[in-house]
Amino acid sequence: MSVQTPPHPAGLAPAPAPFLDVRDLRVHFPTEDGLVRSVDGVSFTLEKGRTLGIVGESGSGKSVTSLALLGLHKGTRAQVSGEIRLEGRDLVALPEAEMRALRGRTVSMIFQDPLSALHPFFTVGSQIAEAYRVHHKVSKKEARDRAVEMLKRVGIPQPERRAGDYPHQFSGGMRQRAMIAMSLVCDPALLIADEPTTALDVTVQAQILDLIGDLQEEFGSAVVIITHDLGVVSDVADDILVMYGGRRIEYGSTRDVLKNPQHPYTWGLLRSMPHLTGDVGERLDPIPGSPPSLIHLPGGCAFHPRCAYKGWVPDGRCTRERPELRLLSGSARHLAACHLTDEAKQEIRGGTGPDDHAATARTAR
Amino acid sequence: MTRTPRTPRRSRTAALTASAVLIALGATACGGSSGTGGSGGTGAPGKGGTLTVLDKADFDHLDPQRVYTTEGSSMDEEIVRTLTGWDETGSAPKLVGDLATDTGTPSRGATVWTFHLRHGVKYQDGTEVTAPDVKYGVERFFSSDINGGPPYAAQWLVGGAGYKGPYQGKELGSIATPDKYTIVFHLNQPVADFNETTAMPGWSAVPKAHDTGSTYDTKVWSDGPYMIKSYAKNKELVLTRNTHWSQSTDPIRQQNVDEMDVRFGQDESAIDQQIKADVGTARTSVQQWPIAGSDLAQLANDPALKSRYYKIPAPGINYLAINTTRVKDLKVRQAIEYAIDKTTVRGAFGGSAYGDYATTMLSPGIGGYRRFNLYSANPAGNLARARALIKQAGNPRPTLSIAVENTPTQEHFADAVKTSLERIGIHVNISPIDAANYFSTVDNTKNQYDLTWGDWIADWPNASTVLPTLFDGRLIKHNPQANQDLSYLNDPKVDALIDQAARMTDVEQRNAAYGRMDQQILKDAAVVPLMYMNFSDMSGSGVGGIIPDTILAEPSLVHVYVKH
Amino acid sequence: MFRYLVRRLLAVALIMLVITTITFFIFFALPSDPALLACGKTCSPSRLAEIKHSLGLDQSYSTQYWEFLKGLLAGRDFGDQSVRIHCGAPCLGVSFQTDTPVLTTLLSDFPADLSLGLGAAVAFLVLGVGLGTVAAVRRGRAADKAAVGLALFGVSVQIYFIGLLLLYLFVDKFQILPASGYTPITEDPAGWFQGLILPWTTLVIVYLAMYTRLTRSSMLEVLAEDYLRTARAKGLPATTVVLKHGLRAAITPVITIFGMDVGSLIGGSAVITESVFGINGIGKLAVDSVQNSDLPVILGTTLFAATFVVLANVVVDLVYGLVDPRVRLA
Repeated sequence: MSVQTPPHPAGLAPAPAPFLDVRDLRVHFPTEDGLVRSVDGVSFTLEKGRTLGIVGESGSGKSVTSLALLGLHKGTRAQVSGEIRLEGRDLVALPEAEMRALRGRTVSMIFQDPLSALHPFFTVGSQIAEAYRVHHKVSKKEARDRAVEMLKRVGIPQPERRAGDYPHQFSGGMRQRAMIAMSLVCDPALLIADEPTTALDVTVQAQILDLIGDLQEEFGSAVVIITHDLGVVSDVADDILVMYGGRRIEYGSTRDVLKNPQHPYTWGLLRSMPHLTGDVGERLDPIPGSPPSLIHLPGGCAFHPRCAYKGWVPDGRCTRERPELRLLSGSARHLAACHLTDEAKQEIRGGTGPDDHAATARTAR
Repeated sequence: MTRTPRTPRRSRTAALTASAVLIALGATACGGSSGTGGSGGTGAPGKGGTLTVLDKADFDHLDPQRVYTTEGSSMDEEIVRTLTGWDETGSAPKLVGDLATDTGTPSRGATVWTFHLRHGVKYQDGTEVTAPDVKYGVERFFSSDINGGPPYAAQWLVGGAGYKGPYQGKELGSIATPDKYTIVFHLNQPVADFNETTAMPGWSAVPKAHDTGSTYDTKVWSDGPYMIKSYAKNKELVLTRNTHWSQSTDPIRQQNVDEMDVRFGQDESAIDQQIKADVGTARTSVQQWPIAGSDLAQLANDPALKSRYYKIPAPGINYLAINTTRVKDLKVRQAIEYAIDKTTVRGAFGGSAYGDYATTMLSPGIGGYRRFNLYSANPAGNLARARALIKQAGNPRPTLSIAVENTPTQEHFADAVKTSLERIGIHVNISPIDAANYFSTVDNTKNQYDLTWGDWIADWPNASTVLPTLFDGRLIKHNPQANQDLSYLNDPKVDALIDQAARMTDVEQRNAAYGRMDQQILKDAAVVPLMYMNFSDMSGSGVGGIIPDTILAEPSLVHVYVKH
Repeated sequence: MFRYLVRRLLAVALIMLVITTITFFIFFALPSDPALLACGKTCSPSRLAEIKHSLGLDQSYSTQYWEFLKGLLAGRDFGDQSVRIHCGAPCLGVSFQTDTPVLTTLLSDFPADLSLGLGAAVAFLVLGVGLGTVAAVRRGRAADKAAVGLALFGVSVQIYFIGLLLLYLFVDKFQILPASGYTPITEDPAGWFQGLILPWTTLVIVYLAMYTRLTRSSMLEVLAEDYLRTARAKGLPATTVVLKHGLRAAITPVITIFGMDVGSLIGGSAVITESVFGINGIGKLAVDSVQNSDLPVILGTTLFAATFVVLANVVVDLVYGLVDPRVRLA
């Protein structure tokens, strides 16, 4: 798997091309208040059978990125640029009609809140069958059989009967299973799961993640899991991309990012991650402050107003100069965008947790 | 006779603006659409065709003993023949025998009236109309089921007070039918103009076998040129030729068109607009309800409509009654007479097309009318005289109430009165009353106002149907809920004149007495006569033979034809 | 479901009873006297008393009310002198004015209201929902502005003015249509249709505004729903997304208002339209009855209109149950 920050120099395309290659993706929304830069120069790659976790707070641009992968910004005011190469085809430049043919079939998506993402007025079975029929010339009966089969695959008991139920008659976990059944009904090559477990309780979360993993194995799909919770992806993702303010701030293999996080924001995310092994009732430690405005992104490092360690960087560079995404020394593909020197990071990481808290409190406002 | 005050209460303001705009629009867009041929009796009447009659609402009644509106009475002329009738082809209406061979013979000081019926007058089934049928018809007046009609039979026929109509098998002895073709009425008082009363629709024949009582409205049995073919109440009445009618027995009517199609329920302004446009069926249509007040000024002055616009003087008066028991000072009442600006008042009612300024209660054309003017020669009033009179009264500066209908027209009228009187220090409080209930409210003696608006149309063109009804002070306590004396005038001089005139059998003498009565009432300053009313109607250019009927103030259809 | 229906219909009956009672007693609180009106201009007290008796108005209010209710269930006979009028159950009384059983009149006027109301309703529903949907989908663009502008026009014009204008243009000036009026469909289907084009158009212009705006705002809400995004993500064509998934959800608030409007239109609420176009329906009947103090007709038209509004409510609830599976009728 290769990692390039800028697009490949012309004529230097490595062979073979990755299954999914996103380059310098930008999604901007013109509004009355100004241009909202929801996604601003994001690149990543993903191979079949692998899983990428995109992590960030709400407003970091992760969901907008996923919608761009589905081409759902087409026909809206959103301005999309950059490239999304899926098996060599650029989805950004693809006409809506052709994109539509891919949607749900080649690229499909599991949405965040299955209660609101499923249509309340249609039965679960018919919604799944519809997803199948739109891409396959089959009879209603065949489509329905397929829907029942999918429900069975995702572990819905009595699928024959439950196919005739409405979403509100399902429990939360079952609804998410149904959602997954719907997104997998056409054997997609790329599956995007947007906060697939947020609305669910912990035990069900694990089941759903297992299910996605199992199905990925079975279908050999590439999976993008989008979440604000590093914990969700720590077990299932191969790579992790951390986003902040519409940009990448850290990108690497799951192992690298979890074991050797390079960005203070990632540290914050890690601290706020509930440990399954941790004591019940242990206080989670969210990152103080709120996500930045996507119209007027703070100058310099976008994270600096919330960063407890900007004092470690001399000359106030954090507020003035935007840090480049740099390859971590000694790593092939672990990238991070931070002015802190490796030494400084070492020192901070070496320090104990409680001190961090104090530092955070001091500089938060 | 009443023109039922059926002013639409909803959307009236809308009506004013909308229709005025549209009528104006029509004037520019298709001015001069007609132009072909006048009507008014010129040209030979063509036979055949269908005349469409457009009415805002259905007739209250068509049953001849119940009808009391001008529209219904006019329509009844086509279906029902009365003992006497009016020939209006000349310059003035002339009373003629209709069912009767002549205008009747009075005897015993006009307390007995004898009529001889024509032979060979046929009902729609071919049977002959006889005197007992007329007797039966008149007897129907007395039944409480046959309500709504005029009161004269009950007032005048001997024994009328105790008679309850023919339905319990009882007859009224004071109507005698010595033979098949003779009918004799015995009256409890002299009625010199009884033969004008008998021109009203109720003095007609109803065959007992075809009487359906209170449902007779839709089943009137015809002995006129037209009979009911179908009648869907509030929707449509279709009249067709009565093949048994013969021109030789009828001095008044003709039978030109094949059918008359009367359609009810369209808005006044929509009807005005349609007839003005003169296309399709509107070309052969005529309206019975007068042109809407909001359209009047426009249409009256449209030269293109001249040949099919009928301004019909009504035997009626629009007036303001001054309650003499509340405004007791004669000088104040006289001051009001001088102060009222009739030009602004008439403006409120629609301007000159609405009528001429009145100075008397009797209008020209009514027997007994005498031209005089006791007050201001200028219709705008005489302020100097008015102020002088108020001064003589000791400058009372009273506050007076005025009752009017709650329509824009009448509220404008009330404003005009208020403005007029404020000039002489009289303050006016306006009491608008629901138009549909206006008369039942002000006619109730429990509801008295200082000033009350009223109008009155004579049942036949004689002062006897105007002044005694409106000014006999002795009637007030008899009809506490239906008092017509809105001035509450109870002047012994007027009452004496009423009794005198009632006893007179000589029409000339009697008319002179009514003229004096009119003058006495104005001397009492009991009422401010405002306008002699006109009613204006239109027909399509394909309609001919319309006679302006000044008795009913309707476009008479007795000679109507459609052009081919 | 069946029990629900029975319960609702019983409630309807109760509401009707209450409405009847209130109308009945309000009538007697009014200053107008039907007997006096029937009696004519110069009415003697004795004559008035007779007429009062023949109209049954000399009895106490409670007796009259009781007779009315009895007639409703068992029928009544009217008239004691000239003619006997039988008024079979459910007897709403006999008009003071025309001596016709009120129900007969209502039923004969009803086809006009049904044609006018239902025809216009179908048209303004389809057009309003269509325009509203287009406006929502093309939010902020020319089509949206045009639809909203059109709707605004409809809301600001007077029904009376529009009616007269249409008559003037299409009947009087260009003579595209015959003079208006209602022809029963059984008599002449073409004439029925031609006569109703302008009245329908008038009502559509006036009602369209609300339906366009309602659909637009409801549709905008639905378009922002997650399940619409899901529908797009499945790869459904835009028309399926909007018309199947969007409209299905957006239509529910429209149905509620539509039910009310159809109920009241059929019940005779289009009085001005009826009057401009000379359609004699229940609306005009009701207005005339009030002006004529014709109590039985006032009661009858009130009950009739109320029945349709209340029944429309029940139907709306039933339809709601069909459209939205989350609604359980019990």
